[in-house]
Amino acid sequence: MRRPKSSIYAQIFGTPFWIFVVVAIATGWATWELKGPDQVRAALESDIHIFLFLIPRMAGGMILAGLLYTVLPPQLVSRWVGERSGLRGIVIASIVGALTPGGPMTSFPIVVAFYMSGADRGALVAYLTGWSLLGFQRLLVWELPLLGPQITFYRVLAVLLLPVLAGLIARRLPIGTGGASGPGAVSGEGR
Amino acid sequence: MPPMFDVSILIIWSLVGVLLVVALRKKDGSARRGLRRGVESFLINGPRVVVALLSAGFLAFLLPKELIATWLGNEAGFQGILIGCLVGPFFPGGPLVIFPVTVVLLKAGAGLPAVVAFLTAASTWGLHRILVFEIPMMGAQFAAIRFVSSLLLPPISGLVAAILVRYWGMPAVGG
Repeated sequence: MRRPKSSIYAQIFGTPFWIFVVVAIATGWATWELKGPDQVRAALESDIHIFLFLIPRMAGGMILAGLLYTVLPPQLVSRWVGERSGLRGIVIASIVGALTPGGPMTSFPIVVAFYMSGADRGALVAYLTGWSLLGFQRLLVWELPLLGPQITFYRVLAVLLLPVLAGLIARRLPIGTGGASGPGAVSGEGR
Repeated sequence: MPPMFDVSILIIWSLVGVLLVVALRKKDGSARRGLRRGVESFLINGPRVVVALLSAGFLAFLLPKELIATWLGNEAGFQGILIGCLVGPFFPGGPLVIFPVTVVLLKAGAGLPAVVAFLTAASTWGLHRILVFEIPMMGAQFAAIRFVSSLLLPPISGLVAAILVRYWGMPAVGG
């Protein structure tokens, strides 16, 4: 593994971090002005619960992705879901996305791991779309019990092919992902 | 408030265990490198996500959600689909919020095509997820590519749902 170009401290408190700090202060100030200090406190209190929920899952997701990156053979990844994987690669990515359990704290680290291992952006977009529209865990745990089998069936039919469509569009978009604009938040690679 | 421990956390950490065993059996330092990489990216992304979540928490208080829901419930047909597409992104895409809201919408008489478009928009154009996870971890350019690629998805899903309802009838909520 290559050593990071900058120290971990510099990466933690880099520009992206400060942009988010500015946005947080601005929205916090707007809430204070428009809704009053009580709402600011209520927002912060609900954030604490979300952090407690998120942190063990996010740590798990990141470590999962780190191990996945060292275990996955890059040749295999680029053959199955790389730039020349065609429609098959996008279909596979959509299905794997739908099978990925958990929230964004698992799926996004996995996307970073696959990107580093040579998956193309069409496959990554298909993966994320498959996960967010057809994720089986959310379907079984939330949608079926709350909305019932009929509405779930209609909705699944209505979105079934969309991950593949989004992947095909992403592959053709004339916007680059290269250089410093790729997923830069993983140390030792890119940037 | 979401529960601290549930099936999802069990699945995530079980998968970590399985991958750790696979990496250890390779006996080439993969396990150590993978763990190190995971911990480093947690240290780098964690603070960004925490600060982004603060903003998202405030935004949730600033949005007139009840008003939006009433609005969606009152519109049918293509207008309903359009409104579903436009309001979806402002709701957090996570199941804890989105499915209870959906039940309320359906019971309030919102059409299924509008609700399907709303759910697709919340999932694929969801500003909360883009702000909190996608931009901090994947960068703004990837987020832009995925967003543009998904532009057509909510209206398409609403139109397909409208066709299904037209031929098969409106399904029952909870049925």
